[in-house]
Amino acid sequence: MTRKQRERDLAEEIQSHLRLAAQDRIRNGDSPDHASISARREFGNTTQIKEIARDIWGWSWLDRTLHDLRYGFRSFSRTPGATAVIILTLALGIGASTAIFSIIDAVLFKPLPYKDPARLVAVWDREIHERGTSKLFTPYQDFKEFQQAATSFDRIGGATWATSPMILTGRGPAKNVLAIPSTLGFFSLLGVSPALGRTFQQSDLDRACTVVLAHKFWQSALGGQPGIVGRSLALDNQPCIVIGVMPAAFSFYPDATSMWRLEPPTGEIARNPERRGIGTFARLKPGITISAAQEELRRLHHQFNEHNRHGAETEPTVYPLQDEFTWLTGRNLRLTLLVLFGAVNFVLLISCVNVANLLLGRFVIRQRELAIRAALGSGRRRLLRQLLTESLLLSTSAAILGTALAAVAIHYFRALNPIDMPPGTVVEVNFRLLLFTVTLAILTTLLFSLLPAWKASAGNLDEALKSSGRSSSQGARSNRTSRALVVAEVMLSLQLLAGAGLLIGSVVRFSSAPLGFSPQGLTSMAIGLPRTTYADDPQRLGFYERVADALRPLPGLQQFAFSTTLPIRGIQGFNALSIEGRPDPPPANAFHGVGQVTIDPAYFPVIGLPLERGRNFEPLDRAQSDPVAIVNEALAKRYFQNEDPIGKRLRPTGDPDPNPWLRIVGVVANEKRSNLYNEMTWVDTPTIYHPLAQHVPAQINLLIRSTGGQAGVIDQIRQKIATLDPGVPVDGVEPVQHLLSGYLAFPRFRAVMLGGFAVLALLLALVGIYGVLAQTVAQRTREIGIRMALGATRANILKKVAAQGMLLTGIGIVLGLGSVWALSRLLAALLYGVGPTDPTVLGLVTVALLGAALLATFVPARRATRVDPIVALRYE
Amino acid sequence: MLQGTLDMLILRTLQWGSQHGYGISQAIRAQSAEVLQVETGSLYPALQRLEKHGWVTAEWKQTESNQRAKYYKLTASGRKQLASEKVRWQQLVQAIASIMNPAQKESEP
Repeated sequence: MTRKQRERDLAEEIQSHLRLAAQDRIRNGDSPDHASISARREFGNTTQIKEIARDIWGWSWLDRTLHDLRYGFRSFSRTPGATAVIILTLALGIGASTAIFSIIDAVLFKPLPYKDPARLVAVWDREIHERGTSKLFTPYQDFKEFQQAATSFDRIGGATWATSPMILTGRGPAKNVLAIPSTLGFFSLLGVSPALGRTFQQSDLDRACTVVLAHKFWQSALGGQPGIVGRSLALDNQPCIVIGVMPAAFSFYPDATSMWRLEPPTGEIARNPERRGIGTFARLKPGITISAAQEELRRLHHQFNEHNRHGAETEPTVYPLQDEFTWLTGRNLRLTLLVLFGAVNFVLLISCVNVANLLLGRFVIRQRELAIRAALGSGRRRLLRQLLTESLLLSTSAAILGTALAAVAIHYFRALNPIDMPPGTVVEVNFRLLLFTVTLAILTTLLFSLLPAWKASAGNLDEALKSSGRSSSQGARSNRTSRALVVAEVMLSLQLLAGAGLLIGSVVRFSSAPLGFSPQGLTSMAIGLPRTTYADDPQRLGFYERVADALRPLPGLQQFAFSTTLPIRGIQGFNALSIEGRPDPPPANAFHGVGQVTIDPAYFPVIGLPLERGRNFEPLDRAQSDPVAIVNEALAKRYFQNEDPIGKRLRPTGDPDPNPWLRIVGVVANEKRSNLYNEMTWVDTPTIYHPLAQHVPAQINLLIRSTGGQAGVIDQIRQKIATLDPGVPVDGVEPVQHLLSGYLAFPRFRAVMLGGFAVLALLLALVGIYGVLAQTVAQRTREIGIRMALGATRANILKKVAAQGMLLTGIGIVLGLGSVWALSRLLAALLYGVGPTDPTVLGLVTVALLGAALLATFVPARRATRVDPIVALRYE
Repeated sequence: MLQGTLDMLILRTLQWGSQHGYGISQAIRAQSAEVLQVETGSLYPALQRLEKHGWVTAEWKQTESNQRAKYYKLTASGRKQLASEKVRWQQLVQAIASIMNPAQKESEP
């Protein structure tokens, strides 16, 4: 028998019992009417029998749930508007949370696509004296030492992106390619097989140049040519054998890598093992912890470098590789994601509070129904079950809608690509994400429904049946809960608004900070000279001069200049700075973060950086003349406090040792630069400027200001340079403003996202305030009517209701401001120009919140003033 | 009524022939000289339980007065169950009796 049949059978059996009982009574002289009534009375509670029978037959769980669901559907379909509001509110919260989690999952949780990713580590050198972040490539000789002596690792591989681009010729126009110098063990460490050919092996070390191509480069620059393996590419006019192509899904930092080039023993890094660094990557042996490995490496490092400065200044530090990929991509990417995740969960919490409030109101209205069901034999647990099942129905619908919203958001995130992601990161809807959403749906159900359901199911029959639902004390009690919830909402919204305000304020200040020069209209491009054909300084200088001569007559090109480092780009300090007539600094304090830039005399006028003292470089500053330098104010201030630096001589120590003394001929204003370790700072790096003629690099940037069509001018420049030498690539064309936007991408993304969440939170909180006040006004219609009948003016009523709303808002704001302090400190690393408790920002968001709350209060307050005393009093 | 005894009384009543729910409750009342009143709220769940255990089977039939009613009938396993419950019941009665009337036991010859 099916459940339905069994239920019908039982119902029929009960009917038959009643008929038989009534028949007996009639036989004993009872009247027919009375007989059936008394039989029924004697029989008692039929519902309970049915419920117990269901329990006995054991399908009660599914049966009940289905029953509850049907019941829930019916009760929701009676109020489609309110139900839609609830589902939409929750769906927004769940959707936003799921979308952010998809990014977090892809960046922080999804294992890297390499072999045994959990055991992969990166080893950086840190400068011991540096208190903040400090991450340097390991000197190659340390790397070799680790490779030979360290026992903590299965494998060690090296690769470095601190390398100049190489020039690819013979395949269309000459182009700069990023060929990452790598060691033999690099690919076997990652355990990824190539798509074509093979990766490095021992015998390749005998060749001058062996490369493995990145799939993207193979496709874009070589047209996916199938027979590429075994062919050779001309890099810096030197043949390089292609031995393999990696699969499309393979990537490693940095994303722009074109190929990996095996560093042979004759290579530039291998020949300068103390000065050239390499990124050290390794797989821990099973059971070896990061700290144990680090201890071993430090011991080796100090043994090996016992007698040199490097040993005293730095020490190796081991990090999980995945964390480092995140860090390399965005210095604050991890923190950004965590902050956004926190924020989005605040929004979700506010949604839950709102829904809890709506349900509280709804369950109060259903108090009578629930009380009657309780009287008919449904236990409290049964009622709770019913209410929770209904709530689960809501949150499941919301989760489905939310997942759809998240999928749309993810689609747009991928299409807009607002921020850099670590290599190989794919943000997608996957099983883990759905699991997260399901968990979220269950958690939110408990959050928003447990309290209302508990309160509602505790209903007392007498009270519920007697009360008309309007003047009931239950109503007042639930109102108290509602008000507490609104206060919580206001508090959470204020925190989000404050966080968003601080981030937005930071972006505004960061992007409008005076840089010391004018980036508007400046465009940069990179020129690279092949090292083989331009081996010495006169050859390179000669070429740059020929370029300048060729560009000067170009119409539309107003100004141009040469510089080795683009404006804004961070420059890392080098060794120590010696100043003539002073003792050299002790080795441990030798790191001064002084940057070096090579420029031509046009540089300062072109970027608009004012010369403060002395003179600019002149055509007379030639290779053979007195070596000169211009320093910036930051350097002058740090090393020459009250002295006049003009005429003093200084030199960077080391590389090549000893450098010639450089006479300072001028002091220039500071140009702001970014910091390698912190994205939200502009720094005045102490800088030495060298004249191009005395310090000739193989790679240089051309900075131009032009009138009219940029593209035309750039094409002409390309043509001119190609005429001079078709083997010299010109690329990386980028307006300096774009560079600036690049630095702002992360901060802007954060601010926009947090701002969006804060606005959402504010809207939800306003709906909350509005809802509670509207409910209060509706419940107190009678009271308001009496007051008005007794002479209260509309203004009195308005003031009274508004005061109630503003009181809730006020308490919320006070609690919010109290806790903002603790939360906004977490944002400290993301702020620029504002403190975590910036009074302007906090003041502004408080005013904004108050204003919005006033609006949400005004509507129900107005409604209260329109109460007609006669109607109100007649109402009940 | 003592917990668990209702099942036994129902089974015992059905030993005399198949019967419907109302009939069972009337029979128990009559047999106990109106002492035991079986509540319908216990009776029907008990019948469902017995049916589930397979101790009784049910069938819709006409009564003498031409009413449709669900008749319950003892099965073979129901008979066995009744026998074992009877034994347990007797043990229980003796045990209770020996607690309630200890002196009587001692004075037995």
